[in-house]
Amino acid sequence: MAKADSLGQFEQLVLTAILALGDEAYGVTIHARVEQLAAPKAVSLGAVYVTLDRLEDKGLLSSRLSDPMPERGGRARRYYRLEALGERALGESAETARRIWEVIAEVWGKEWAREWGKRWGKEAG
Amino acid sequence: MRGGPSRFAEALVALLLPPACREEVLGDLHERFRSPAAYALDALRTVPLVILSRIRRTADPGILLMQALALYLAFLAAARLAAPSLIQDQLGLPRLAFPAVMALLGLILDDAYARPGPRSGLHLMRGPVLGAALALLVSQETLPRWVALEGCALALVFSGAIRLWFPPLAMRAAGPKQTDPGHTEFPMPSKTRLAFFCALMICGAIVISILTTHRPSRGAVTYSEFLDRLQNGQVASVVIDAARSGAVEATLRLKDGGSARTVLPADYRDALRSMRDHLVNVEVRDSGAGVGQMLLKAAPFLALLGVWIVLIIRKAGGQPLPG
Repeated sequence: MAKADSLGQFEQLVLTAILALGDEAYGVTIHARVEQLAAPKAVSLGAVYVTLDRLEDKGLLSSRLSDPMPERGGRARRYYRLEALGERALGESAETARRIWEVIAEVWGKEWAREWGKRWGKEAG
Repeated sequence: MRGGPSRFAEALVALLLPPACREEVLGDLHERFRSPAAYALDALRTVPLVILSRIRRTADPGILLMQALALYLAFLAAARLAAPSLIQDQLGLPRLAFPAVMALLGLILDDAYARPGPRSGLHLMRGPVLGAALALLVSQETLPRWVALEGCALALVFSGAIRLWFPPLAMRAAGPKQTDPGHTEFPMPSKTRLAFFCALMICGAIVISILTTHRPSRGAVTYSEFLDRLQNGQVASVVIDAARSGAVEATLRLKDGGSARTVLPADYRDALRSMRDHLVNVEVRDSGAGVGQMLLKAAPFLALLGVWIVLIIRKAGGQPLPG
């Protein structure tokens, strides 16, 4: 079985955006979602393309072209979807993030963790 | 009214984008259109990264290093044939590297801008021709005419041969050779590739050696011929490599623009006197410092050779190339 590479932070953001967008994951929507996830940092569309190419080369993503669309000047969209290897890599990243979180919460205290939990809750609405 | 970027702006962006990703990137930029200025800014920030990403996807580091080595050897051989003194010149080796780099750039751009899928042999030669044309363009100003012409011709032959034996990545990716995600298998064993390349280099070296032997006017001359040319007033200047024990090597620059090498006897006072009599400009160099200089100048080339060997060994061991 192919081994999933460890992911960089930006790669994690792009994969998460594709996971969240489902069947609607193409350049513009992925970029918008990554910008949301990376806020307040600005993200360029070019950086998203570079990462999509790299993830596709690693076999974590696959892509297909849609039919041409009049609202895009007759150009097609390239839709992306997570492959099994991508899902596994993202799962491993999430697991690593959870372990990091647990250690930080343990060291800095439950009060601090509760504070951040509340803040995230507010952001999520 | 047309609600999108102007046709001119879109055509310009389309021209800059590699065909393999033109469709979706143009469409995405169109969809994000808010104003002509915003479109221009968006395109300026996106297109360079898309080109770089395409180059990364289509460039094979091992083959690029192979090409770089072959191209540099081509210009080095041309200098050896047409103007040996250029190699000993202070900036000779970097000057020879410049057209080689341009030829390599031609190959890289041709791969990045090629449409994915099979290409005919004629299409495969487009990269080497583009590279040779770029090299010729820059070497007209930086190298002597014959070095430029011979270098470009040899570069075309070397890079063309490598290209035909080792097709570009984009072309190979079209075949069913994908064995593991992220790693495309080469169409022929790497040891065979290495053997082919070595054979090519050996053939090139033999051809250069034969050509050099048959062109004594631009290669080595005997001491007697040197004295004859001196007496006839054909020699403009002489560079003597002084620190060698026994015979002393000298490079002559002739008044007709050509150059030649000769070996002087250990005691060359007579020759020196004769050179002074004929108002020949004489420069004596300390070869102890020269060796250091040569090593310093050859450092990039040696580094390139080292990296190439490491990559080939890694490849032969079955490990995928980086990227």
